[in-house]
Amino acid sequence: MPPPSLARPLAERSVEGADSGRDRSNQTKNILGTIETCIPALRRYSAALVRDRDKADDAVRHCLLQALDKLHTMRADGDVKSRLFAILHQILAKTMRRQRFRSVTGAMTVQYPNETGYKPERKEAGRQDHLLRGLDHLPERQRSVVLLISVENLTYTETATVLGISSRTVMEQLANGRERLRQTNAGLSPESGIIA
Amino acid sequence: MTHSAFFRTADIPIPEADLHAYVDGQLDAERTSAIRRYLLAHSDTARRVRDYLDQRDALRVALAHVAMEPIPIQLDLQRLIQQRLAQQHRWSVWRAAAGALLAIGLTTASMTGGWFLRGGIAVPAALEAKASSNDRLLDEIADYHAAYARETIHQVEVPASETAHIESWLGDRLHRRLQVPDLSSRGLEFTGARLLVVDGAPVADLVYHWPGREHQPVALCITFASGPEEAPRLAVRDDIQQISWQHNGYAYVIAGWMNPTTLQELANELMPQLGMQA
Repeated sequence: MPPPSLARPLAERSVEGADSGRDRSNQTKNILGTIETCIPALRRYSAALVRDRDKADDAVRHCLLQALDKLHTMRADGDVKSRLFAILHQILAKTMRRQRFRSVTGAMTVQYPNETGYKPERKEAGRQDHLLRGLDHLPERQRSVVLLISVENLTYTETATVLGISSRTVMEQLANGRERLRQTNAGLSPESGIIA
Repeated sequence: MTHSAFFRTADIPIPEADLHAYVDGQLDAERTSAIRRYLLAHSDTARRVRDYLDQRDALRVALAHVAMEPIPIQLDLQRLIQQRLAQQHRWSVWRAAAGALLAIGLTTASMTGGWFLRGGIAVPAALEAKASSNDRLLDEIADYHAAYARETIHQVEVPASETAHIESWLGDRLHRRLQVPDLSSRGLEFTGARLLVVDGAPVADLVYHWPGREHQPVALCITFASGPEEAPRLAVRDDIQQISWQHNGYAYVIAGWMNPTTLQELANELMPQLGMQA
């Protein structure tokens, strides 16, 4: 996947004027830099769970604001990414609860508005649509686990932290989610073959 | 999970968890090749694993466009920081972020990033503190004090009439119960308070004055200690006299234009009042 298009990263801007407290300001800078590089992934996860792109971005916005509030509890070398996903997940859980409350079945199968003008081949698009619809029908926790691991590349431990569940539960949900998704998308994969 | 070489044959069923860990590349090389061997011999499982791999790729492809879009302006981190700065009352952390990012004017040097406080314990600030941090604190307080003393209306952020608010606000920042000490026995009136930030750590600045000498206020500053207990010692910065000590995790500084004896007397008056709260 191509790197997200970012303007000059925050880590490279700023603090020319500061002349003391370098270590700590560098640490803050690193954390903010890491936060910034996570934004595309946060948006992706949010959009995958909340189909309304405005609502999805709104959740990310709240997530970033909360993260900024918790900046002093974050370590540059540590867990910034999973902390961000954990915050975002909390916010999304609320959003989804509200959405579920309001939505009548049809509302859940909205297609992805495609702001980049990226147009997959029709057949490809059909497959993707099918896959994402399958994802929508997974129980919430399975969906999150599958997305965090398959798409966001979080480790099992990180995923457990983000969702506040045990690693064992992560494994179960992952296995169930993937299998369920596989079956609803039975036509998705090509002929069987041997794993290289 | 340790599997002895003896059991690592192509016929021992692979736990489901390991199949997924294989899909996600979260296994070590040895286990990975053991699973490969197993899959070569078990085409049903191999097919399933291949489906999982495809599914993983397909999900990534299907969602990739979201992450490739330019970041909308409302998610611009710099902007969010500025918004927060504008609205935040809790600005101690904010100033830290701002110092690192925005290089705002003359206050930048004193607000460059900071780590303090986690559940009431001054963690990294205390750990990272250099021997000179107390000197820096004294420098900064003297500078602030000299700058704010000239002000008339804005000498303090919150006036003495809102003492209750001051106590809860600054007490919150310092994670302690804070009572504004009474120095009337020394002829000092409480003017009000402001929050300073030194190296990212909040400093409660309680300002007093002698009636008629409003432009020569006395500051009592309280912040997190950067070192162990320390008995009161005198210092001077330009013409500002200071006395500082550290007790029970907090650093105290009194600063003002007065002779060292008066300063010492103020410290003697204050220490029991503060010690009881600490």
